[in-house]
Amino acid sequence: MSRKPDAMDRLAMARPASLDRGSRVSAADMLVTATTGSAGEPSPGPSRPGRLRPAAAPARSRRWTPLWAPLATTAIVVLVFTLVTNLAPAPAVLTPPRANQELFDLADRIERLPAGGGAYWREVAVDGGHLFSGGYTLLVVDRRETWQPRDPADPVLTQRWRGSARPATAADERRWRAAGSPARVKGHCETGESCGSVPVAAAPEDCRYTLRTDPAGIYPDRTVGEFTMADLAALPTEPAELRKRLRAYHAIWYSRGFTRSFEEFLPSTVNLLGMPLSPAQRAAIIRVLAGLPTTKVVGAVTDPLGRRGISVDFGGPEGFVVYSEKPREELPVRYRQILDPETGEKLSSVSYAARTALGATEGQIMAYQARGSESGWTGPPASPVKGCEKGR
Amino acid sequence: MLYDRRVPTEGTGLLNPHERFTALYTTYQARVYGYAVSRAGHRLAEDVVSETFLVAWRRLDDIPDHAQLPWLLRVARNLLRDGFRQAARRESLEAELRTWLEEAADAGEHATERVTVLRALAALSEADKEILTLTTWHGLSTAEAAEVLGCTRAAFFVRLHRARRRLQAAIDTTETGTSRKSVTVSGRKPR
Repeated sequence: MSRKPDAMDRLAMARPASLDRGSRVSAADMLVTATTGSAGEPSPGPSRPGRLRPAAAPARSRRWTPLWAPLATTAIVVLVFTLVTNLAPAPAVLTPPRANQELFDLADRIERLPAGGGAYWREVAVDGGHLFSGGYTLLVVDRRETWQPRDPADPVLTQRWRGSARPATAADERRWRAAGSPARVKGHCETGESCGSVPVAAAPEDCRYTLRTDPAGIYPDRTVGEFTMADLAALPTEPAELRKRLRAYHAIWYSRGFTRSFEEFLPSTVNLLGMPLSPAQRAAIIRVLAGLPTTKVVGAVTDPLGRRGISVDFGGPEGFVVYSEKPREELPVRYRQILDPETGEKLSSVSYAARTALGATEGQIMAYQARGSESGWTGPPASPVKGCEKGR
Repeated sequence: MLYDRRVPTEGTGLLNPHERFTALYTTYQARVYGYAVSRAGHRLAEDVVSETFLVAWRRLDDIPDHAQLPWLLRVARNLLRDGFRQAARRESLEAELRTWLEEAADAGEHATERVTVLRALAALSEADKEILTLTTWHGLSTAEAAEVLGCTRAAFFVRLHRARRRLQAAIDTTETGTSRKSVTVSGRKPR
């Protein structure tokens, strides 16, 4: 005689089939969301699972080390003489420049630029980093692209290209050739064990794409908030109003367990400068950021994709480290955001070696996340590039 | 050798973060989704999965190789416990329970049995529901389920035993027809 099923057996038999549906989001899409949404890389350190951590400042990394001394607030007073229209001798006007005047000037320049338009916002991300191996340096680059529709009824297109490596400089190429021009170069495994290798190629290759509708229509970069395209379009153009709105988004983060204060959260809003916003909205964001005590304009630089930009340090006591596992060594890096001086859009996030060590020279670019120049409003159809294969 | 862990090496055989994450997601997303459906309904399940794996990406190095699923479910559980869209969640879960009952009623063979059990389950507290389903629906071992709940195995057994007793009582109540009201989905025990 068979045993009468007990409550647990009966419960097991009543298991609903809907539990097995699984997420409709593919691994590739989730990775895109994760890498854009959490600023590119996993964070380190032991922690208890499940407690959401503070919203990341833009693209911070594994370990936070104090790098930055408090900003010196040296007031520089400049006398500016102006002429009145009747050419009478002008009174002297004492005009202390605001901190981060370059950013306020940038906001003034861009706020009246015409707003672009299109059915899709195309976001091209090019990530790069350096790999030191075998006496030469390699630049490892990958690329991904998202076409986010203004109308959530339209499909979202994502494309990813497999990472590839190439010698970083002509001297590195000579050393690479002297080593026999290996088609693949040895990488480093985080576990310290023997690992595979990276293909040497001029550009990322082996594209995979997905094309599917996302009824929720949430913009993939969630570092600041979960914005629909309509939410983004509704962001205020007046700085005080914008701060108020951002405070509401911060409150959402905070309610989910993030412990970062509103003031600590605000620097991460620089990521909005890479999202589909009007020039007037970008100007407002730049003004808010420029007014933060931790913001410091570093100066004009050339970004990793060769574009001129304004380098900005959004401060904080944190830097991040590059490390090797065997032996375990760490290198502090300085983290900078580079803004387009013509449009105010974010061009790239760059980490620079903070000192000469471990094969790196102080000031050398260690890694970057750049927005491709193709990024911006565009029209349909959202279709993958030729040769790109359908991914899962 | 100096390695920046942000350097992508995907598709090369290296266990870089992108590949580890992809493997983790591919292996466990359906299980996390199933757990999320049972706790918050399918309307919010995608969000729970997404949030959970965003945390997983940030904490990739913290995920123990031997207990990846419990770790993920614990993240999902904490998300839900920390007030994840409570009102929407309650609505979504109630809708889910109604759907289960409708589907069970249409199931043909064993339809009555399944409806009875699901009605009984719906009448239990959230905590009891979770304990009971971790092992029966989500396929966790008792050690893994204890890990998800953050308690010892001994404590888990005690709680499971009590929950099982309450489930049996709820089934008995439902079967004897003493409670023919529409199903309670707020987690209160049957009167």
